Amino acid sequence: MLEKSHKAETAITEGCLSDDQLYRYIEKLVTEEERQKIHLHLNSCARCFDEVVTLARNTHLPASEAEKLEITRLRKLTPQAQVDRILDYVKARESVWAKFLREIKKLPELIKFHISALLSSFFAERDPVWKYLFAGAVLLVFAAGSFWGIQYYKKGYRIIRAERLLNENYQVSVPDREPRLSGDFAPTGLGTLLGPAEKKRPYIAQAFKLAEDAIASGYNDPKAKQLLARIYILNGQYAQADSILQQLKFGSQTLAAALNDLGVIHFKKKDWETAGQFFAEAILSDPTINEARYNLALTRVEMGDAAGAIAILEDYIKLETAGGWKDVARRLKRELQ
Amino acid sequence: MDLKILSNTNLVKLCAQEPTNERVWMEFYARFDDHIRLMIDRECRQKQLPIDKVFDDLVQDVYLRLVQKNCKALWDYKAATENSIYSYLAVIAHSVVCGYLIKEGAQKRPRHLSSLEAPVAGTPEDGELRLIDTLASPDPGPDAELDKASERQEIRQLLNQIITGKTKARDQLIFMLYWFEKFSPEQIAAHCGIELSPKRIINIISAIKQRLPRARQNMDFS
Repeated sequence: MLEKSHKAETAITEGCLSDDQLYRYIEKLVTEEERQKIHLHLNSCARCFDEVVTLARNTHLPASEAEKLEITRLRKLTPQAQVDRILDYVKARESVWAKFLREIKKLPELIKFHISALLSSFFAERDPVWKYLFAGAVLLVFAAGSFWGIQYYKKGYRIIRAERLLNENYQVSVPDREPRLSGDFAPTGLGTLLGPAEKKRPYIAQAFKLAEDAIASGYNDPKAKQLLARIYILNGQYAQADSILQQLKFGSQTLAAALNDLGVIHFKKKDWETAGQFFAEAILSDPTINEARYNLALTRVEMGDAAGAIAILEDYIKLETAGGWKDVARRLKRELQ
Repeated sequence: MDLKILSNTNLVKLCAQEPTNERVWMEFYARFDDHIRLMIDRECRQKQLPIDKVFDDLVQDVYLRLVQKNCKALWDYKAATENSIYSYLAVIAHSVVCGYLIKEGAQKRPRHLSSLEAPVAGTPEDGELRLIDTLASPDPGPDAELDKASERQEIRQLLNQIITGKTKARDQLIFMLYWFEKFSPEQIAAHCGIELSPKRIINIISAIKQRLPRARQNMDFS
C-alpha cells in the first residue's frame, strides 16, 4: 500500500512502523497478530508512539477558524490550476505499459457488460423454454443459499433467545450471598425463599432446551457452550457444567469467564479455597472481570477474612461501572465493618 | 455519471482507474484538498517549518505521492470506513513533511566557528559574561525534557510490573495514551487503533490507576 518513504532514508530502529502499517493500524485493518506486535513496538519506540499520537490528533480534530483562514491565505492555485498540475504529473509519469495495464483493469467491467449483452441476445433468439430453465437454475441456487442461511440463523437465534431469557429473568440473590456467574446479571434484594422446587424456574428449562437444541444441530460457538454451562450451574448440575468449562478454559476469549464460572461451582460446593483460586486466576487473566472480583470478596467472607474481603471490595467498587452492583458492594462492606 | 453521488472509496478507485480524467480529479480536489492542506499546515507548525516557504511544495508533494508509480497509492488504498481516506491522506502528508525534514537536515550549511566560552564584545577583560550566557533557548531546556523522559521511563517500569497477561502491551499503550497524551477513552477507542469499547478502556485505566500508587511505594522502598 503506502511505501516506506522517509523511514527508508534514515537509520531506522529495527521494526519501526512503515506508513502502510501506521495507516492500517490506525484504521484497524491489521490482523490480531500484527496488532500485538505493533503494541509491543509502540511501547518501546518513542518515535512511532509520537507518530500515532500526532496522526490521531491531527486527523480528527476539525479545522479551527484560524486554520481555515491560514489555508485560504496559503492557497496559490485555483482549483482548475491545481487539477491541471495533477494531470501534468500523471501524464509525465505514465508509461505505455501503465496505459496498457489501465485498460486491462477495466476488463472485468467490460466482461460483465458483454455477458449481460450476450445473455439478452442468446435468449432473444431462442425458445422461451431456455429462459425459464435458466431462471429456474438461478432460483435453485438462491433457494439453496437461503436454506443454508436460514439454518445458520436458526442455530444462532436459539442461543440469542436463550441468553435473553436468562438476562431478563435470572437475578443474583444478594441476601443469600450468591456468587455472580459471568455475564451482566442484575442483583436482587430477594432471597431464594422457596426450596429446591424454585430452582425449576420455567425460564431455565426453556433456555436449556434452546441451548441444547442449538448445540445438537451443530452450533459450535463457545458462547453456546458457556451458556449451557451456566444453565447447568443454575440447575445444580455441577459435574456437567465443570466438564464444559474445562474445555472452554483453552479459548483465549472465554478463559476468564470460564475460570469465574468454575469458581462459582466450587463456591456453591463450599470449597472456598479452590473457589478463591479460580476467581484469582480469572482476575489475573482479565483484570476487568468484575464478577470474579466480587466473588473473591464473598469467598474471603466465607473464609472469615473480613479485612481481606473489605480490601477487595474497595478495589471492586472503584472498578465496577454498574450502579446496582456498586451499591451491593458498599452495603456488604459496611456490614463487614 | 454524477460524481457527487460516488462514495469516497469509489471516487479514489476511479482516480486510479482514470487518472487522466479531469472531472474525477476536480471532484477529488473539491472533497479532499482542504484536508490535505490542513494536515500539511498542522505538520509544518508542529515541526516549526517556515510555512510560507514550504507549504505549497509540500502540498504538491502529496499529490505527487498519490499519482507516482502509476497511482500505486490510489490502487492500493483499502478503506475500513468511508472516512478512512482522511487518515490515509494524513499519513501521506506526515510522511511528506518528515521526508522534507530529512532532506533539509542532510544539506549542511557552512559554519562560522566561534567559542561559546569567548567573552561578549564590550565587556571588560576580567568580566564574566560569556557568549554562552547570552544565548536564549526557545525550548524549556534540556532539564525539562529530561524530567519528562525520566517520568515516562518510571511509569513504563511501573506498568511493566503491574500489568500482566496476554493483553499487557495493549493495556500499557492505553495507559500511556491516557496518562501522557491526555486522550479520553472515547478518543483512544476511535482514533488510536485500539479495538475495545470506551467502557472496557475505562475499566483498564481504572484498574491500573488503582495499582500504581502501591507499585510506586514498593519501588521507593526497594
